[in-house]
Amino acid sequence: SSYTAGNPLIPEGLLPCFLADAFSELYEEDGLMVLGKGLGCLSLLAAFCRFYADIEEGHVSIVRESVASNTASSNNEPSVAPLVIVLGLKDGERQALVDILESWGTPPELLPTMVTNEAGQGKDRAALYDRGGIFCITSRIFIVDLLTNIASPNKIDGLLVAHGENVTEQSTEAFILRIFQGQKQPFGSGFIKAFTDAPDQLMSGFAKVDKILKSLHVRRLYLYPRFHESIRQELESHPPSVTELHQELSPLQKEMQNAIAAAVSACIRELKSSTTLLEWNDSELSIENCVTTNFDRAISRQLEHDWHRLKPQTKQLVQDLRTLRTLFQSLIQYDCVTFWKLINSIKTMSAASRYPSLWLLTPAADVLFRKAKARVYNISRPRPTSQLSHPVAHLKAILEENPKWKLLKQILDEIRLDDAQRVRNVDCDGPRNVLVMVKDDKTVDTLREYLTDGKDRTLTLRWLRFLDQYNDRSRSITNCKGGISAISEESRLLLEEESRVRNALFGKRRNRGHRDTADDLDREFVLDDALEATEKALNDASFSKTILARIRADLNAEEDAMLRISNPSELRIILKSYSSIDGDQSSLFLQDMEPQYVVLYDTDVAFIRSVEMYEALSTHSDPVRVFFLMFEASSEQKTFMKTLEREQNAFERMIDHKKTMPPPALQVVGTQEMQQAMHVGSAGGSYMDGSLPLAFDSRRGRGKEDRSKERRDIAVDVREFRSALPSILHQGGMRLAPVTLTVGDFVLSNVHCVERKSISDLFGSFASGRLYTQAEAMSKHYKCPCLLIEFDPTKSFCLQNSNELGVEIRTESVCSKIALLTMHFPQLRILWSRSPHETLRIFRELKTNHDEVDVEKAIDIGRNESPDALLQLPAGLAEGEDEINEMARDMLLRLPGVNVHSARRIMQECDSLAELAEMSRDELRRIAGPVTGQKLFAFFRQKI
Amino acid sequence: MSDRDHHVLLQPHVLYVSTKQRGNGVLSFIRNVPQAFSRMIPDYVMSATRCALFLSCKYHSLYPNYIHRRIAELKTDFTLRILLVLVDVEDNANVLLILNKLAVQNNLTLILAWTEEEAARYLETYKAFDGKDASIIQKKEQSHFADQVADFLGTCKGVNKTDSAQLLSQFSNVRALAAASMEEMGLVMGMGGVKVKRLHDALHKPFS
Repeated sequence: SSYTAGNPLIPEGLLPCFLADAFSELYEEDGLMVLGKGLGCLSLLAAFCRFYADIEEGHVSIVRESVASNTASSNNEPSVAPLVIVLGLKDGERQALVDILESWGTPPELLPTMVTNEAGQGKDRAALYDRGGIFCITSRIFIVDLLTNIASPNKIDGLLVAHGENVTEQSTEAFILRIFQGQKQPFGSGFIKAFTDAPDQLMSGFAKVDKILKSLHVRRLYLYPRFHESIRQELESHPPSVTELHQELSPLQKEMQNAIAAAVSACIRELKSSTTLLEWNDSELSIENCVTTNFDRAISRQLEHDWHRLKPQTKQLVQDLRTLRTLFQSLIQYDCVTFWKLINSIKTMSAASRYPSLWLLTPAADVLFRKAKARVYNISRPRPTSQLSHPVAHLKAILEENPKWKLLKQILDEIRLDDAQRVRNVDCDGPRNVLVMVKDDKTVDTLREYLTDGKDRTLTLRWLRFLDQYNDRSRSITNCKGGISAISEESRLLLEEESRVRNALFGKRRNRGHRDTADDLDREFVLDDALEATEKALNDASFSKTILARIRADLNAEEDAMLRISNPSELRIILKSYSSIDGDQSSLFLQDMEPQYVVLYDTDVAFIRSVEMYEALSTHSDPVRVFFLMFEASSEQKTFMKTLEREQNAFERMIDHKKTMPPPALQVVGTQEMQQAMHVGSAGGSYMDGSLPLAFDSRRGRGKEDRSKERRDIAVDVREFRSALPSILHQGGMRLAPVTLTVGDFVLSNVHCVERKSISDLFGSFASGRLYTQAEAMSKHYKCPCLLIEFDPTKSFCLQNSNELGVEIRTESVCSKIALLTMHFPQLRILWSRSPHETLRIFRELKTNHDEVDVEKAIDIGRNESPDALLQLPAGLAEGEDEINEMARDMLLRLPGVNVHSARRIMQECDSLAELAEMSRDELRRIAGPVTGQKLFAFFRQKI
Repeated sequence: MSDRDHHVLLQPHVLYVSTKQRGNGVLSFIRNVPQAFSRMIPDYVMSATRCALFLSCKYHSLYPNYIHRRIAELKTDFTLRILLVLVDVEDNANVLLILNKLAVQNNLTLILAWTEEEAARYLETYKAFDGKDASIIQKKEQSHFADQVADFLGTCKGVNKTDSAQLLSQFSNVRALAAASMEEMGLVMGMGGVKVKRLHDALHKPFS
């Protein structure tokens, strides 16, 4: 086939032909490969990894041949594997990539090396790079390696960039690519091949695809949509047999869905009256639209420019919309008890919040709560008769089952029959598998319980868990106020229900009668019983743990997150969640399982395509039978159609765009400043180039002439590489030394130290007190400490709303905090910047006529003093690696009573926060001191 | 008596305004502290060690030398020297660049205000906060348990107040939350896969 022509290293029949075409095209000329979702984007990337890794038959042999034919001289060079860097892979995808390569029989020494947080020190990496091969690296580590010359562009043969859609102008990947292209000699001799399967994201902004191509430094755009002629032919020649099954929502679910939609419209009405910033068309508010579109995101996008100026009430409304949209999902995904619990906790939360959710007060919310409760239980009260003036109310558990569960059961029964028939007709042996695909692991658990234990037990267990938690309050009230009369009738009934359910599930320990008499004594008897049972063991934490432990055990027995029911000679049912599959693992998984039946309990476009690909490549005579289970007129059906539509739409627009698109003009060396910088010998900005001290060229002291020379060196804290500023500084000709700074984010000279705050950071660090500490440290060590307030150029350039100002001085306003900060640190300069580009100009101005920064000194300043030092790497470790759990250390410092000193001791004695939380009072007192220990003990155990 | 001598003879509680500031729209918004005109070098004197110069961007574009003269007059007096700038032109990038640099070079603290009212509020605040400690911007121990928890969990990126309250209500105390598995955390409203993983990692992965 044409595939083997593209890449001889992958066994035939493992990838479809169209990927071979894609491979050849992208191999010929650099570009961005856009594939439809689920069409094997990661497999294609893997094919390149395989190809470049193999020096015998892959890329090197081809290059060698072409060199040999072009030049007469014989090639005596020892064959070194090319150094190829893979950027942009997400966590799970790195493993998926290895899995795919292994499934192709790639020898272990040719597999990519993973350089992530766990990797070794900088020096080791230099040695690793020298050996060549394929490296999957996080961008944050690689940019530091480039800037410190641990990785030299000249030694790198090329870059493979996954998730090309993320390579925007200000991304770290773009920064890396710019350095690579700018410094690679001869210019542009390295290859750059980028991949994406998110076409809709390429078309989501103005000229976004052009900007991305430019940032990627590639000219070509390759499009492989699902409707591509060759893909269609290949996949549709041997299609799976598909049955779509539409399930109606239960009547109660329907009413609830309408109620949520009504609440959404109420929220949007309120939002429109509270802010003038929102342009929203009411016609977009049909129930159908509410269910399908991510309206909350559309609204947030409209408001985000002025987000920090919005009133808290308005922000709450936007938050409410987000909550409501997830409710559409939860309604059809969860069981009735979980949903009831969910909306109740929303209500409790709102009551405790300063800005309660307004929608909870609407009639729609009332309907939602009534119906949600009606699915779980009802309380009936017989009419009073002459004999009984106050008849006893009864609580009846309804526990409506999710309609899809029943449908799934039916399908599985049908499949069993069908399978039995097949077995009789065709003599087939070997395992026969039914693959049931669901959204997440939670659903796997639920369905597993449902299929093994049945509806009643599944729901009753949940019901008991709910009651157990819910009744906690009633129990404490009856305990301290000393009487059943202190709680409402409903609470009492729920309390009684708990012990009844518990007995029904775990067996009765004692027979007890008289339940129906209205005698208080009797009730108290029942109640005591319930309390006893609860105390006996099952408080909520350990209770849910036993359940989870059971599932875990099952999971461990078989493969991860997978479950098999019934004995092996029969049809096996395998439950698997989409969330447990990364990248193209689904195709491996299908090849592994070879299912005869696939039931899509939830839908996922990428997986459906994997099934198509699997089918197109399979050699079976019988097509796979696929069952779609979908709720009619619900969010999932609409969302599925919308996803397909959006993708098709994006591809169509891109095809048009490609016809008229001017080839992107690629600048080899960025800006004028950069050229100038290269001219004066700072090599486009890599500090430590040739291991010269950073400020070497400007400090040779050749008199006055040199003093007027532009200064270019800036020490940058490695954590700042998350923002766009370093890239922009570098583009402006600055030489960056990526180091770990204890004090400040940027050190411009021996007097200027800058702490950078975006607007949200500013508000956050005022609130946490962090800014005060930082200002204190900077003022202590530098003559000119600066707080840089950097605005987002896409948002409004303004700190607060005029109506936020109020008529009086308020201590919580940002004005007051800035005033207070400057009063306490009169030496602190405030730099106001409209955008990172403005920051570059400011930095450049500040650096004139000052000595260059002494990087070593900047690193040393403030070590072991500020709490920040605790969050950073221990001395001696290479920069750019997050070997420590920064977040955990940060959280540790936030615990009541904990300061830098006690935090150090705690970290010596104890490994993690989870471990700390489990410690006894004595242990805590021992490691944190008596006062803090006591505070910690109380903090971990206090109940709300 | 020279203008300069004035600085030391002022009464507390009064925001002193230079006579040169007469007619500035900002003055009409100063309502929370008493003000009095006086002949002096800076435009405003908030205390014996704090003063402010006022500048509007519009004025600066017309008379770029004005502020240099004023700064020169001020010499090195006062510990905290505010340069209060009213941002009243749209195309302000160049002006701000110059003012940022000017402020750093002359030991001035640059404060931007976008309305006269906001500018007035800064002046009022500097006056009213005279002698106030920094406790409102320092790390404080939350006294309320729910806030302590929100503070603790909120340090994990993406976990907001609502999430922390939901987590607490689900697991009833922090210890149970710290012992929870990812699946259990995932049951909590608003806790998506990414957030769950991040929080779980923060709690369970070793400190180093």
